[in-house]
Amino acid sequence: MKHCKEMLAKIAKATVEKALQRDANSTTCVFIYQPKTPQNLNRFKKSK
Amino acid sequence: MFTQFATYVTTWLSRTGVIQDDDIELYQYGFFILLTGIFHFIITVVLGFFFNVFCESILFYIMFTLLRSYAGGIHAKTESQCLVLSDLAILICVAGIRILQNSSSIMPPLILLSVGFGCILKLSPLDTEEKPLTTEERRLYKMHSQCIALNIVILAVVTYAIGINGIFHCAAVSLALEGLLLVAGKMSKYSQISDYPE
Repeated sequence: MKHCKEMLAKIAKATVEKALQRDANSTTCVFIYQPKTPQNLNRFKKSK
Repeated sequence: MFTQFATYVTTWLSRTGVIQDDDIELYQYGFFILLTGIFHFIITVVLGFFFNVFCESILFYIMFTLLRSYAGGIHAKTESQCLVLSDLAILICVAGIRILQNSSSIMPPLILLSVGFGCILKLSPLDTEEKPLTTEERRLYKMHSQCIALNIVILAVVTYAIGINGIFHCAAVSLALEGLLLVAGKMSKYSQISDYPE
């Protein structure tokens, strides 16, 4: 059960990192509310 | 709603030790972006199913997402406003695709396509206070959004010429929505500037 939870957490982290990478390299988020971007989002940018 | 869920999942990830405490805000933001994307995709597909334009609704979502990511445009001030306005926009667009499919005239989708394309060429990219762009990013994303818009227009015209009208209608509606969001965003920026004279 613990192993399963760890696995799920790692999958969730990897999925969010993909979303962050996409968001860091775009103008805005897709839908009509743009939250303030965290400072460390810059580390996902292709051009720094 | 999305913020609360994103906070809950991020706290859980932090407790399991998968992410560091310094990154909580970053992953919270990431979950928010991911969850809103999934939610609006489901809304689009469900509306597409009800309006009997299932495949077209998915295609509309893909085209609009691609355009919006680089072209930008207006944003709601709060999360609840976003939920209402985004879903209303999706409803109007999916219903619009259905209406265009029922109409035999080429003029309405052609006008939407041309006006939307013109707005994207002229106004993109339009950033926000929350996520300002650098000069280099502005140049790069302008090129990206114009290339995507041009490819969508070419795809729409070619598929219309070979008799696949569905793609033409999806392209017209997605370009028109993005054009409208850009015009509204530009107007909102100008009104903010004029509210604070030098």
